[in-house]
Parts: sequence; C-alpha cells; structure tokens
Amino acid sequence: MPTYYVASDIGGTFTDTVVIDADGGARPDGRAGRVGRYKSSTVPDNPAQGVLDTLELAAEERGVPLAELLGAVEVFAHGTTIATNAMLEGRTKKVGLIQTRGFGDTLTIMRGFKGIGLDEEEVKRFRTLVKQPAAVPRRLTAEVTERIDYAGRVVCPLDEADVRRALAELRAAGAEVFAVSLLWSFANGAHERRVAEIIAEEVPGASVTLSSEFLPRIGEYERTLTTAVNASLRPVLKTSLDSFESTLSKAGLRADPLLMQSNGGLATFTEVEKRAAATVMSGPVGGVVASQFLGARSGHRNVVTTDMGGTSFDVGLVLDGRPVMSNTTLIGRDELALPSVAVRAIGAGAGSIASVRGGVLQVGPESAGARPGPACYGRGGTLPTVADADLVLGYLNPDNFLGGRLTLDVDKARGAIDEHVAKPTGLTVEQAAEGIKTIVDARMADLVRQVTVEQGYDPTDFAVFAYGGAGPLHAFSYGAELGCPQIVVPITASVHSAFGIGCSDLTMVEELSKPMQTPPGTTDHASALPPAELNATFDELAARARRDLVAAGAAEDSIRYVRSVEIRFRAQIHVLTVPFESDVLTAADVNGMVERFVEVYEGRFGKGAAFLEGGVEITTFRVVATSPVPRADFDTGALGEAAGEPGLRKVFSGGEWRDATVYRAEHLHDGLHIEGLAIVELRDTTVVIGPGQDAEVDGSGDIVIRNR
Amino acid sequence: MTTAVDPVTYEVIRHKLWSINSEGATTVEHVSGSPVVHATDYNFGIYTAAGEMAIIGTYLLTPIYTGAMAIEVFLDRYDDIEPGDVFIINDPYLAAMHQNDVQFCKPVFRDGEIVAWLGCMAHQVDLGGMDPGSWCTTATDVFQEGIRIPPGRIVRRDVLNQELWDTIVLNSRMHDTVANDFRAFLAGLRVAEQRFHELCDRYGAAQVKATMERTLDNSEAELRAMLRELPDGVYEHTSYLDRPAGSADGDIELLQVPCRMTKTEDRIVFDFSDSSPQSPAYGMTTRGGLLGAVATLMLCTFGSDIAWNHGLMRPVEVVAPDGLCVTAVEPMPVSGGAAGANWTATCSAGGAIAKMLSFSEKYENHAFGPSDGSWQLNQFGGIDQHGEPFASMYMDSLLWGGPAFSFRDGVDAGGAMVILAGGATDVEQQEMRHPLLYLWRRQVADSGGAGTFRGGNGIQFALTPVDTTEVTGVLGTHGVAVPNRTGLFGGLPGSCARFERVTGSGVLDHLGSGRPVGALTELAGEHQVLPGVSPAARIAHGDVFECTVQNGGGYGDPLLRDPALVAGDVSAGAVSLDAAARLYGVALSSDGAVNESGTDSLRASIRDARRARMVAPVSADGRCSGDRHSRGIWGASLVTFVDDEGTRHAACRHCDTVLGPLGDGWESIAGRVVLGPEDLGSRVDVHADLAAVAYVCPECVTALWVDTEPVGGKDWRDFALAGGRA
Repeated sequence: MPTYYVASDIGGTFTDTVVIDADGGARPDGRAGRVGRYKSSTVPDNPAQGVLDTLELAAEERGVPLAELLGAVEVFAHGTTIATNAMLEGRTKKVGLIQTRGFGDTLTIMRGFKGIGLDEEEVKRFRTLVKQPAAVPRRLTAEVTERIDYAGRVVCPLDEADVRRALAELRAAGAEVFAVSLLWSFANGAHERRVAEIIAEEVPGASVTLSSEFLPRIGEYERTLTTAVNASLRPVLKTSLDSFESTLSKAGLRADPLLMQSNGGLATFTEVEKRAAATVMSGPVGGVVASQFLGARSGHRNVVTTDMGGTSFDVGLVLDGRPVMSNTTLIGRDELALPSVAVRAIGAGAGSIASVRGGVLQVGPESAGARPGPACYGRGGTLPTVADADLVLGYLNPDNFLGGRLTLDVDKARGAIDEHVAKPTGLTVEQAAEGIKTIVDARMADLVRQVTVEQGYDPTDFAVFAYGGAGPLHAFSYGAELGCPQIVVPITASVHSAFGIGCSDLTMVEELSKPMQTPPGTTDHASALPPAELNATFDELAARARRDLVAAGAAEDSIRYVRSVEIRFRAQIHVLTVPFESDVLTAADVNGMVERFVEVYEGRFGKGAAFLEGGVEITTFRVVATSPVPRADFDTGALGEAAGEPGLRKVFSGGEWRDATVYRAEHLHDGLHIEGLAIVELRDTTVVIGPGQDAEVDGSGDIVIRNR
Repeated sequence: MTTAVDPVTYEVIRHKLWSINSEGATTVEHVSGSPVVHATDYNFGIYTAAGEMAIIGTYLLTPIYTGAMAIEVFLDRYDDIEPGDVFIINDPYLAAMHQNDVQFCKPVFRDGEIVAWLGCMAHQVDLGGMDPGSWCTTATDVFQEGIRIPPGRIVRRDVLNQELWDTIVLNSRMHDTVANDFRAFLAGLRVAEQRFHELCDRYGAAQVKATMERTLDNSEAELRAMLRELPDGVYEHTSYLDRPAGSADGDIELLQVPCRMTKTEDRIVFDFSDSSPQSPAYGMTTRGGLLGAVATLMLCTFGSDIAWNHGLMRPVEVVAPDGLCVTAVEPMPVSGGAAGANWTATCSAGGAIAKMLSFSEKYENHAFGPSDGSWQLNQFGGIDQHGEPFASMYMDSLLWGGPAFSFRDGVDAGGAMVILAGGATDVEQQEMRHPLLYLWRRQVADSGGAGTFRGGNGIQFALTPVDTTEVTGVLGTHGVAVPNRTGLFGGLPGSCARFERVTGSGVLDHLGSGRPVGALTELAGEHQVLPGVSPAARIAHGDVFECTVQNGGGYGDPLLRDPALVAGDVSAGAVSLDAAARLYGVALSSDGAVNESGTDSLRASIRDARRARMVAPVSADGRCSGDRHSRGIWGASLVTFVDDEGTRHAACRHCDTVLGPLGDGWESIAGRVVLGPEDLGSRVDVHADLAAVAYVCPECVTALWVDTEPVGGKDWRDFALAGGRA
C-alpha cells in the first residue's frame, strides 16, 4: 500500500506542493521516495482548492484517483498567507484592548518610532513620514485602575467595577474580541486573570487573549501589540482553517493537517488557533528550513538563503546548521514580539521596474507585480523590468516560462527597455538590459553582505542557496560578486518553501521574562543567577511545551528541548539568545553560558566590545521543544536520460553576444559537469552558469556552481 | 579633470558606498553598545577629499554638519597628513555642537593622494566638567565644562596616540564607556576603509571619486532647479529662547533668534546677524550648532526627494558674526549647545523656508512650521533599587508632536524631524533598571496646535521614586514661557514645555488604597512648576515629577477643519470637547457625531467675536484696476497677482477679497487680532514681552497667520518679494 507525505506552500499567486512517495510508491519510473513537484494557481477565497489542484496533478501522474491519493497521505503540512493577508488588508476582528490606567496610549505612542519597516528613502522624506495606524484605535482601548511594579508587587489593586465599566465602553464601541495587556503582567498575572474572569461573566463566550499567557515577555509596547494582533487574527484563522480542513477531509484526506509557524516549526490547528500571530511568516520561512535540511545533507553548515521572486529578494542565514532566528517578526510596518526565522527583504525581484532620473539608472523598489507585470508578459505592462532584461539578454527562453504556460514577448521587452532606459542613457537596448541586470545583482549582493556582516560573519564563509522564480537565474552573478565558494541551486528550487515545510518538526516555543541581574564586578555568575532558580523556570516552561506537544500527538520521549536565555551586558543594549548545553543546569553551566555569551557577543560585535565588569542581565527564558514529524526517506536525485546533445543559444554577456550551452532537465545526471556560459532549463526554473564558472550536478540533483 | 562614469557603474558604486557607510555605522553601533548611540545620537559618513559630505544616513541630524567642518579644520591645520592617521576633535568653537560630541575622521589614500574621508561621531556619556553627564547647566564659562579636545591625531600612521587617548579617557567619569566608544569608532573606520579600498581596487579610484562628485553635483543641480522655481525675495521668521533670568523671583528672560533668509535665483543666504549676543549661561550654541540647524533643514525640506549629500548645502550661505547666542566663542559655556539656541535657529530658519516654499503650488506641501521646539533634558541619578548608583537620560522627551502640513496632521508622539527614525524605550525596561515608577505616559489632548490640519500632540509622563529615598533630576529646556512651535497660515502654536513637581504627595498610599491618580491636581502636597533650567531638582520618596513636551503647530485656520475630523479627534481623545467648541467651533451631539447647524452657528459666532476685536488694516483700500496677471499663491492664505500697472497685490485665498498692494508688507493689509488665553490651546504660555497675534482677512476674518511677536509690534516682515513694486 503506497503512502504519501505531502507539503504545500499556499502563496499569493501560486500554490506549490511536494509529494513524497514512501516505500512502495507507484510512480511510473518505479523509484521510491522521489519528490514530486507541482504548481497551481492559488484560489484566494478557497486556499484548499489550490492544494487540491496540485494534488490532482500528482494523482494523475501516478494514475490513481485523487481520493485514493488523499486517503493514503500520512502527513499533510502547509504554509499559508491567511494571517498575513488578513493583517495587511485589515480583515480582522475588532479588538477591545484593556490596559493599565495611565498607559492606554501605548499602541498609539508606538514608542515614538515612525520609520519601522520603511527603507531609508522613505524615512528621509519627512513630509510623508507618518506612523502606521495603531493596531487598535484609541476608542477601542480602555484603561482600568490597577498597577503592578517591576517586582510583581501590587502597587494599586484591580478595581473590578472599573473593569466592568471598561467592558461596557468597549462593547459600545464595537469590540468583538478582547485583548488584555497590563503592565508587568508577566511578573504577576493575577490582575489579567481576574479581568478574564470578569469578561467571561460580562460577555460569555467572548474570545480573550491575555498577554501574561500568550506572551509573558517584558516590553509593554510589543507585548501589547502582539497580543492585540493575535486576538484580532484568532477568529479569522480559525474560520479559515476549519473550512480548509473540511474541504480537504471531504476530498478524502484523513491525516490531521499541520501548519507552518514563523519560527520554522509545525503545529496543529488547535495550537495555532491560540497563536494565530505566530503564523504571519508561515510561507517565506519554509525556504530557509529547506536550505538547512538540504545543506545538512550536502555538508553545508553555513548557508545564505536567497529567494528572488517577483517583487522582493529575501535573505536568510543558516549558521552551523541552524537557521538564524530573530526575536521578533516584522510584518508590514509592525514588529511582533514573536521569534521567527530571520528573513530580510529588499524590493528587488523579476518585476522590479527600471527607470532613469537625472541621467541615473535605477532599478526598483517599485515593482510591476503580477499584473500588469513585466512588459514581456503581454498583460498591459509597458515599463521595463528585470524579467524583460533577462529575456532580452537571452537568459530566459520565451517558450519555456512557467513551464510553457506563458509565452514571453521579446519585442515588448525590447520596446520597453529601449524607450525607458536605452534612449535616455544613450545605450543600446542590450547594454541597457545588461545594465539593469548588473544593478539589481549588485543590490542583491549588497544586501547579502549586509545580512552576513551584521551577524559578524564574512559572506565568503557561506554557500549561497538560490531559489524562487528568479533566484537560480541571477545567483551566478550575485554569488560570484560576494566571493562565496559555492552557489547551490537545489533541485527543489521552484517549490523550495513547500519542500521546507515538509522537512519541519513539530515545534512549541514557551517564554517567560524574569529579569535577573548580576552586580558589577561579579565573577562567579552562578552566585547571582542561582542554577536552582533557573532550573525551576526552565522546568515549568518545558512542562508547558511538553503538554502541548503531547496533545498534538507527539510521543513524550521524542521531544527534544533547547533551553536558552536572552541576555545582555547591563550597560549595553544588544540582547543575544544563548542556549544551554544541558537540561539540568549546574553552577558550571551558568558560568559557561556567560562565557559563551561573551564569546558570541565579541564574535558578532567585535573584540573588546564585551563589558562584563558591568554585570549581565537575563531578561527572558525560552524553551524550544521539538518533536520530529514522521518523514519518508526521499531521493531527489537527478534523472538523466541523456536525450540528445545540449543546445546552443546566444546570450548577451559582458557587452557582447556569446554562445551559451543550453541543457534541459533530461540532460541532468549525477556527476554531470557543466562549463559556463550555460543555461539549464528546468520545468519551472532557469539556472544560469556564468562565464568563468563551472557547475556539477550532485547526487541529489542539486546544481552546484563554482567560480573557476 | 573629472572621469566619466557610465550610468550603470555609477549606480552600482553609489549603492556600494551606501552599503560601506552602513557597514561602518553598524560596526560603531555594535561595538559601542552605549544607550546614547543606540538612540541614534551618532553618525557615520563618507566625505569627499575636500571634506564635503558624500553619504549621509538618517541619524540624529543636528550634528550632521560638524564632520565636514572638522575635516576642513584638519586640512587647514595639517600639511603632513598620511595614510594610517585618524583625527579627533570635539572643540565646539571649531567643529562640534558641544563637548560630548567627539568626532573621529580618517583620510583614505590611494597612490599617495587623499581620495575620500571617513568620519564618525557619537555623543559621549560623560567627558568631565562640573556635572555628571557633562551637561553643565549652571556653568558660566567653558572651563567648568567637559574636556575640550583640539584638532589632533588619535592615531598617527597606524600607531595609537596612547597619551592623548588616556588624557581624554581619564577626564571622563565613565572611563570604560568612553574607551569603548573610541574603540567602536576605530573599528568602524577600519571596516569602512577596507571596503572602500576594495571598491577602488575593483572599479578604480577615479571612478569612485567621480561617482561621489556626481552624486553631489546631481543633488546640487536638482536643488538649484527647485530654487529657481521659487520667487526671489526676503523671508523672515523669529523664534525665542527663554531661560531663567538668574534673579531670585524666578523671572524669565528672552533671547531672540531671527532668521532673515534671502533667496536670489538659485542661491540662499540665511542671516542670523540680529540674534541676541552671547551670554555666560545655559543655551549658547556655536557656529557648528548653527550650521547644523541649517543643514538639517536643507536635508528635510529640499532633500525630501533629492539624494542627501553636500550638494544640498552648496547653494547655501550662513551669515552671522561671532559672539552671538548662535555663534558663541570662548569662553562662553556651550555644553548645552546641542540643545540651546541651535534649536531656536532651526525654528526660525524653518519658518522662513516654509514662507518661501508656500509661494509655489508645487512645493507648498513641502512647507512645515518649526518642527522641533527644544530638547527637554531629563537626566536622573541616585541609588537604584539594586543599591547601585545610576544616571540615566530619559529619552521619553523625544515623543513630541510633529508639525502639521498643508495636507496632513502632524504626527502624534514622535513627530521629530531632527531624529527621523528614533524613539524611546518601554516603560517596563525603564522601571526594571531605574528606581522610578511611571504613573502615566500618555498623549496630551489639545497639546498640538489647532488648525485646518492640527499639530501633533505630544506626551506627558509622571514618575515617582520607589525602592530608593530620592533621586536628583538635571532638567533643562527652553520653550516653557513661549511656544517655539508656531503654526502656519492661521494654525495655532503647539503647547509649551513644562516640568512640574509635587512634593509630599503620598501617591503610593493613594494608589495602594485603590484610588486612581489621573492628574497631578488629584494629589495632595506642594505643587510647583519647576524652572526650565533646574540643575538639581530633588525628587524624594513620595514626590511626583511630571514632564510635558512642546508640540507641533497647526496649519490653516482651525475653523476650516473638517468637522468630521474634529469628531474623530474627540473620540480618539486627541482633542477635548472644550477645544472642539472653543478653537474649532465644532458642536458635537451626545453620541459624538457632528451637529452641523450647531457647528455653523458656533463658527459664525467665533468669527463675529474676532471681527469685533480686530484692528483693521490702515491701508484698507482693496481696489485695484484692470486685469490680474501672474497669479500666485501664498500657502492657504493669499492669492497674489500683478495689476495692469505692475503693482503686486494680495487677495484672501479663502474669500477672494482683494486686500491691497504688498508694497509695505502683507501684514499692513491684514486685520490684526491679539489672542488671549481663551483663543489658544490650554498649555500655551506667552511671555509678557510677547503677544500672540492673528493676522486675519479683514473681510471674512479667517486667520491667515498666527505668530508670537513683541508686544510693541514686530520689526520684520514675513516676506518681501524681489522685483516689481512689492
């Protein structure tokens, strides 16, 4: 009986799905564990439909009915943009927010920052530099009389009558769900819990999110923002996931679907319903996890992941085999206090528009998007884009774009570049096209450099993984500029995020802020940070994580825990997350952790940057618990049938037309050596090997490009 | 001869210079870790060989120009500059705003020639002087203040000048932090220099130099083109600096900082010659502060769509003799020079620029009133809850409201221009580290100036000591007795700054018994408004300290604000019911919706009252002959035109009534209404020497401009256009 492991990434435009046939798989080629890759258009109001469309393709390929394939799915995991879109488009529930008296303006004050999520050009334009609207408008925020101090002591008791009055006010203002975020609630949650009880009495059945339960972290702005966003998303996500699940189960799916979180791990629908805001980066982080997974197989411990799509270029890092995490998640112009796989983006993609102003050629950040899209799409776009340049230069085959589903119009591309770039600069169309490509590639290289340097690393210590619609075409250039020794285009490039989602573990993150300091001059840090106290906090968090993972179906003995603290020097600002090596901490472990903190800090911020004499401060404790999801052995190996000789095509490179060898998927086999200048045309991807580069196809089917 | 650089290489190099600059800045920030640095009171820049700014980021902008001044000094004084040298300076009389701002600069050599300079600056937490933190608010000369570092070399041919390093570090109360910042400077310069060399290796130094030159030339050309679109003339605005007079009765004296800006074709001259003379007290600024004020405005007004670099300063000249409050010289105390008369200069120059931009329909939306009133220093020190000494500058006072524009309201709580991307920390972070409990941190209703578009509201925060016996506050600001943030075209000024203290309030007992505290007035104890400069304010256990910031001015007559927007402001708590009726003339029904007929009659009655109080213009002859030519506008207020005889006239832009010829200044053809407290926001104080005055259309009595001016009348004109007879 064949079984399948399925993962989908439901993006804004396409739904990508990978299907892995477990042992006994009935693929026509008879190879078990192969990774099938499928793409279909996303159906925005019915995300399940896009998934079913891709699975229909998979079923057809295998000659089985869809229902039979679905019935044999062992694991179904997916990434979704539901929460992201709901938030960006404002389709969320109206939150009534309850805060400590005197601090009801926390969200609107926004700590005074008006530039978060904006690039330098937007920040410098003072006349249009305004804050984004607050997540909860002021009239839906109510203050209640109460106050707890930094030590968790009650300074002013909770006035229950005031809470009832506040609720009446919020309901009158139209509140549909409630969020409660009181000062220092993570140090003492009693007032918040009592507010929840009163809400239950006054508004039975109301959805309530308490900051002390959802996000017991220090920092009232981000805690309040995140709690409020979560409250507003929960009902939206629940409705959507319920309908998603019932559509798939009606079609025959028996497995409980899993959802990707921003932290790069999977969770059940029951769990994510409580943590809806933790799914806003559900899709994009899959690619980083996939790169981590494939990198580990091919011996790349340090990877820069580069995802070049239609509108943006996203960069992530895998360091020593682990994705680099951020303590926050940037979504639009809001920074949520939820850990996420760190992904930095700039507006550089295939759709980025080239323009000339004052004799200066610029590319992006404006994008032609999917509609009207680049001029060559023939959908009414008239402005020249990076894709138009790629086509004019001969890198793109007009008849093999999106697997031949869209024929590109070379004349329109040439026309747009001629009018808007070549004529104003006095360049030929080809020179102008190459100029566009040079500029966008340089900008991408600059971003990669910035991301690695900011972490204190040198890009030449990393392999570049390139994926997304346009990554494999441009990576030879930005990768070479960075001096990275290897540029890897994984076989899964066109469905890389979906593949990553399929590689993920069930993950639960539990956190608690419990500030602890060591006095200046401390040398035995364990004396000020008693191991017993640390163990008690960690054990409590681990127990919570365990309970949730077991409820999600994980076997208790399969769960692994990573205990870490957010720590900083007391005189300084930057917080680092430092893990402990063992589960039960001793004094030696605590002192070892501080030593490692100094080491990591100086590695990242420079020798001599540490200021240990001033003492250290732990702010937050974190336990990340993971349990592996059952996974099939798979084999992504290249499947060469050596059908005929590779072709030739003219490509404009380095100011002249040159011959490029053109390979197709059927030419690829383990160990194939390719000499640049060459193009590899896969079904959904075009890979370019530059002049002065060689490439080899490895046993996994990945194309590894090296500078000669 | 300049090297030609093709448009593609140009763009690639330009972007890489940005990336090098941000790598340098990142390195400084990382290595330093100082909270001041983290609040962006630092900068990193790439300069041309001649010391012009080539790449500038969006840091705290007021000290942005001193890097260029420093390089000029180094080039002037040293003829033996060599590879591996790093220069240092903090002398405020030469090239800094105050002693805390230490600048390091490093020349980059290629083939024996300087091709560029790299520079970085950061505010040092302490460099000695009579007060911790080196803001010496009571100093009467510079020798009581922090150490003054003349232009010199902290590194000579790659060898550290240890004697100089030690001399500076030893003079700080915070040796380690200063040494750490200096190490950060050197690390940032090293990284940026290495990357700059890589860039030159790849593209050739000539191409890199040519790219820098061209970015400057492009910005300069774009600015000059913009200036040519604006009318030639003289534009004036005056702002005041108030400070304790030093007398026992708490008198407040005023210094004036008028800006007379002359625009001729594609050049601008800012003339501050009529500013008050320097004096031995807090608030003086040096030429570095004055140039920084002008440079900041050039970047944020003209530079909003033009690349930021020295090209934006090339058409600019700043005129002011030495020895004024904006050009203080030795031995004037200048440790407060980063937060003194340079801010007042920003306000007056900003007003003058706005008056000019508003003559263009294309650029009137670039105009904004005085954007940043004062840096309200709140530095607290004492023994913290862990029993350790602490000293901390509270950044909360950065959360002031921004100025209104012709098309939008000012930003509430965080509208600063001088720090575009900065902000403050969480209450919880502050309370964790310092023994002060916040009672509130909130936006103050009506604190932004009312207007067709209202100024941004700012914050107020109140603190009370916990787990300590007392703390001491070093407080310093101006703008307590006069609003620096005047509005534009009939918009009202924003609220004044204020420090207030209640001693013996018993606030913790009050809260402990479950009674909320909504305002200081609800507390017992002795209430006292503290002077703007209070060098040692004692805040003991049981006392409450409150700080309220200065806020943005409005744009346009508040009576013209869309009543629906006022209703929204009231429901959001941004405008009180009282102000809605009194200043905006908007009547709301009990459900908060606009009562239209009530609003109409309220607004009519406010106009009637204005008309009754109006002093009509002397030359009220509005007749003019023939056709109207060369029509133009002046912001929301005037339409200008030239008659058949070549005389320029003005009409009210609201009712189109011709007011008269502009020959004697537009003020002489407008009605004049002196505003009292009932006409202004509740937190606006106007010093006895000044009056708040509305210039109104004598016909429709719409407010056309509201300003603060000497009680006896002002001796400047908002504008005098060149050419013709007006």
